[in-house]
Amino acid sequence: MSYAKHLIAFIAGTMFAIGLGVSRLLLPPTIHGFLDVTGQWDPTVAFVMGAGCATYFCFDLLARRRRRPLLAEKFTLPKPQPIDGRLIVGATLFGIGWGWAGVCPGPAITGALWNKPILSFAIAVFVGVAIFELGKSRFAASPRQSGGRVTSESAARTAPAESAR
Amino acid sequence: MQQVYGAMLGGALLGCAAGLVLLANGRVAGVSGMVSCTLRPRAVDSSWQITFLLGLVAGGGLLAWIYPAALPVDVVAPIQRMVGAGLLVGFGARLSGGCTSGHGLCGVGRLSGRGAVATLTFMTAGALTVWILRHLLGAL
Repeated sequence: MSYAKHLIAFIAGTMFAIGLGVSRLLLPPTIHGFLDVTGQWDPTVAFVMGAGCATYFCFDLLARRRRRPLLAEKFTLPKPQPIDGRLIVGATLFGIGWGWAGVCPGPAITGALWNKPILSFAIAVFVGVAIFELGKSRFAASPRQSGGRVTSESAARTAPAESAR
Repeated sequence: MQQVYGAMLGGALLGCAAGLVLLANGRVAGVSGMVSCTLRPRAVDSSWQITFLLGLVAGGGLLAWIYPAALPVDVVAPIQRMVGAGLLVGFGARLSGGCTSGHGLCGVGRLSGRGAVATLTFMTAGALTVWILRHLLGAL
């Protein structure tokens, strides 16, 4: 039990929420405006993602120079996996829901206490995740193995894809 | 222009928050993955991910104090829509292994091909959904 890990996580979570607020990502009209490419397009999300990815890239460069993280024994990061049907189908379902409500998990949890529709979305996200976890073996056992590399893929499915770096 | 600066400042804060998790705790900061952690709290090793989610809620409280206009207080939407969309988002995020934070921010930031493909896919699906709902059906 590492209290330091919890403290960092709490600070990072709070900072993440402030970042979402400052960039107006907590408001569904910002998301709908970004996705409405044929209407009045609002590029805000593109600027947020651009600045966010560039900042994270710098942290990743720092991390790559380290043997281990500051508070954990090793880096536990997703290892390269083939792009498969689950990725595409999952991202498509996610995108439909994202476009439909204009909310994704981070903003939903941040805003949940302040608005009933957002709260109901956040609860539904937990239920959706739980449905996946309950039926995980079934979804993972699909015979679709396009792209080969069956062994690494099935190994990654039973255990979360993790590797020390 | 002010909105562009706000967006970039906010994005930098998101990058720093996720970067802090990477440097200190050695993991990608994916919110949907953290949600799945709350469903198996026995894993002591990753219980701090639940604390991150509590940090999000606390940050929402802090915003109510310093910048209330950022909060979605006056969102009006049918509950059926929010529940249906939330189910799709939760399930789809786990099936694809990440959401806007894990694939979009951290994945693209780490130059992961899977993250980039997932991000392009959910943005395309989202744009098509908005187009159908707003311009074809006149809803939304």
